[in-house]
Amino acid sequence: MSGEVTVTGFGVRTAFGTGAEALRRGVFAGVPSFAPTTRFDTGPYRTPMAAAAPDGPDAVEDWALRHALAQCGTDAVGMAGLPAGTEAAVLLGVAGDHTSVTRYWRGAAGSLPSAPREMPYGNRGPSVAGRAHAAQPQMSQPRAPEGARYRGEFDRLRSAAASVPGHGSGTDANRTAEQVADAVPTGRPGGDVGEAAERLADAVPAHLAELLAEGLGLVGPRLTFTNACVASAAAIIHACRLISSGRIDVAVCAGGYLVEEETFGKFDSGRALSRDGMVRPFSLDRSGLLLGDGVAAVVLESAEHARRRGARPLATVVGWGAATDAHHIAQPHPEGVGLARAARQALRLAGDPDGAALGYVNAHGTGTKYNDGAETRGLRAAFPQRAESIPVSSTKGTTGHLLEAAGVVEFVITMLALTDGVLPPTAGFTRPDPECDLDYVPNQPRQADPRRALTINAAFGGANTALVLERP
Amino acid sequence: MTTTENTEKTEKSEKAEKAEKTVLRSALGVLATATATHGTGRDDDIPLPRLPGFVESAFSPLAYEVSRQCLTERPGDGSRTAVALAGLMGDTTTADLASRRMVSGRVHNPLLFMQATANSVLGHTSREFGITGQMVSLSTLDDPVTELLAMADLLLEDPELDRVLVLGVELGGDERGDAAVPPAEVPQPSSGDAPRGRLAAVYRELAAGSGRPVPVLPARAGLAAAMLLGRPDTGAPVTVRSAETTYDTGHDARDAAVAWHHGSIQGLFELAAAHRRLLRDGGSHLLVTEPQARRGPTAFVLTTDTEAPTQAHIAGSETETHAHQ
Repeated sequence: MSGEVTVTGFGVRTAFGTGAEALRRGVFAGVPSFAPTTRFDTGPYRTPMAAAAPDGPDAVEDWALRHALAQCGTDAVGMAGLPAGTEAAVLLGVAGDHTSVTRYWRGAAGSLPSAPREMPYGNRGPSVAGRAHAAQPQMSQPRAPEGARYRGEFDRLRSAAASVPGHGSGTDANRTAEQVADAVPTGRPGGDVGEAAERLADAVPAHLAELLAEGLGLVGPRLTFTNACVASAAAIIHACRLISSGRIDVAVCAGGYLVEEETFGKFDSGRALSRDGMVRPFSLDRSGLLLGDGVAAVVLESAEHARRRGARPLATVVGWGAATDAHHIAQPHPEGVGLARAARQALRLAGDPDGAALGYVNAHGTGTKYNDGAETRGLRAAFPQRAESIPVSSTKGTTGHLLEAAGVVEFVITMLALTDGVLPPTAGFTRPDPECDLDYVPNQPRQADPRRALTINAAFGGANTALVLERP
Repeated sequence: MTTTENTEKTEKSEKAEKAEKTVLRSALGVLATATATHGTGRDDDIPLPRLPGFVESAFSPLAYEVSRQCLTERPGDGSRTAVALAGLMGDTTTADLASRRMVSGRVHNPLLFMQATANSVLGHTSREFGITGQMVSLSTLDDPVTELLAMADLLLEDPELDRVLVLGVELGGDERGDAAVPPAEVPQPSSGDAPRGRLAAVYRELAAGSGRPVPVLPARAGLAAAMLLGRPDTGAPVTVRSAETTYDTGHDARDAAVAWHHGSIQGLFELAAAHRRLLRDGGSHLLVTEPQARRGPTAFVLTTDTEAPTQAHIAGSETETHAHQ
């Protein structure tokens, strides 16, 4: 490795809100953010639950992916102090904004004779979500506040972020999130017709990367990763390779997913969603995942470049790895073979093949039967002498599964664990599972002093990624 | 702006331009290439190969077919092989089919869930050929040939990798995927012959102001192309390397009209065709990509020689540019 890779800025947004404080209040406190979503009619599906910011029926419009990416990108480059015009790569992990596609087909269907809607699991729409709750005693009560209150919370967070030196959108060469959002087109002459067509293009992942880069005013290569739940982790790994090999000095890596019906329906059809309204990673009672809103951006920079311009490194990325299971199109290898290989690569690159310096692992931990046991065995294979003594947690028990954004949001969470000296718990943990036999930091945060941490992700097709971070 | 600032900016721009144009740090060995088309009307169209678990769409069967051809022609160590797949927006046939089912009130088909991401067919390929290196799927607006070669160049610096399979897939419209009656709020072309529907609207939006065409691939059509790449010392008879700048070609294609639509994989097809010709006839071939939004064209030299091509080589070689000047 010829160049050290540092992190000099980040922006993050989940169902808890925007910024590090929202993560501390939710993820690090072990508070699940699941509630019946009102973004669409959940009646046809087995569960109404998701970790979606409950800011009203127009939430998907308000949370349009391009705007959320712009917000997080602005926060990240603002924290890093990168001026507009910087030559920086923009690497994005995203599947595109499906809401416009759904809207298109809904509009087309509206032009045709309509068919009666199938309700294979009973009509259990949002209006009767409370009854669904009551019928399932294990389901938690929604912890998230109601729409108006929550929207107010977003506003408060934005103002607070802008007023804190070195954090948020107010620090970068007088650029604000609103200005970047303005630079990212939100509509155009022609009214609804123009805007509908424009939003259709947001379904093209590479288009979102172009919008983000243009909005941030960054000059440099752009590349969009679409490989499902490792997409943004793959973007970070790609940036690390580009920087460490001296090809580029700076990269903004981002990822985003916002809960919408299209993906929700697909996961429901695959029977992947939790049956009890909670995500319980590594717990005997786990029954599946739930989807969650997640968007984040990080600024990665060569240490030399950061030093030259006086930027403060928040953390260093000292190792990375990626490997494939070669096992199944949708299930992980039962022994976590690819995950172990990716982790070993990352640890070797970090100069710590045994994981001796690791103080925390942020696991993929989806809360599915298949993943969590395989991941446990993979971690044991990666560092057999150390696995039982390293705290491991999955933060999906609070945020839900963020799909393409999981890698970058969990990268930020892992970095905060290092800098804050607090390990986020595995929320929703009830009873130990004999096949999941590591220290999962159940339900309560833990004070710790880790110097290095590993964050892991896995995806459809058997893709696995691993990143090792080190605090300054 | 001061003179010094001007100079600095110019130097920076030149540096950036040169860095962007020299895509490959090292030469790459072209171990195998493959192309496959379905439903395009070409003479060499193939029926879709049956791929268990993948239904309705040409995306995954074509991706698998070109991968299979390359990996069968040049078997190797799967544990030292990586894969990168590129396309504009993935499997649009599956995406639209799933959307239409959903809005018409029908439940999702679990098979559509399985094949919803390109990762799935890559996972299938990796299982068939024991590939355990990294697999990546990308969305690219422009012809992915440049991004895929750059990706292979970067990945092959990893001492744990010897080979990178790169592939691109492009789908046409779909008579069941494009709305018979498009929503009123999405503008449609006035000409009755022009492509209609969701995908055509996306292409028109992406191409607004750039002069790029909207593709006219028939419904249900698909194309895929793949290259298996390694370092030149792996015994590849043909190598590909970056031309220093496009000026080496003796012409500047930056101002040339862009002939291909967004998401076209024509460059991969031309590279595969050049590879076949060089295997047969020897010599060198200059491939100039289409100009992209933020940079001019990039140029690659394919050669059967292991030595760097000289200007004489290039001058005497066959030159192909997407720009069709």
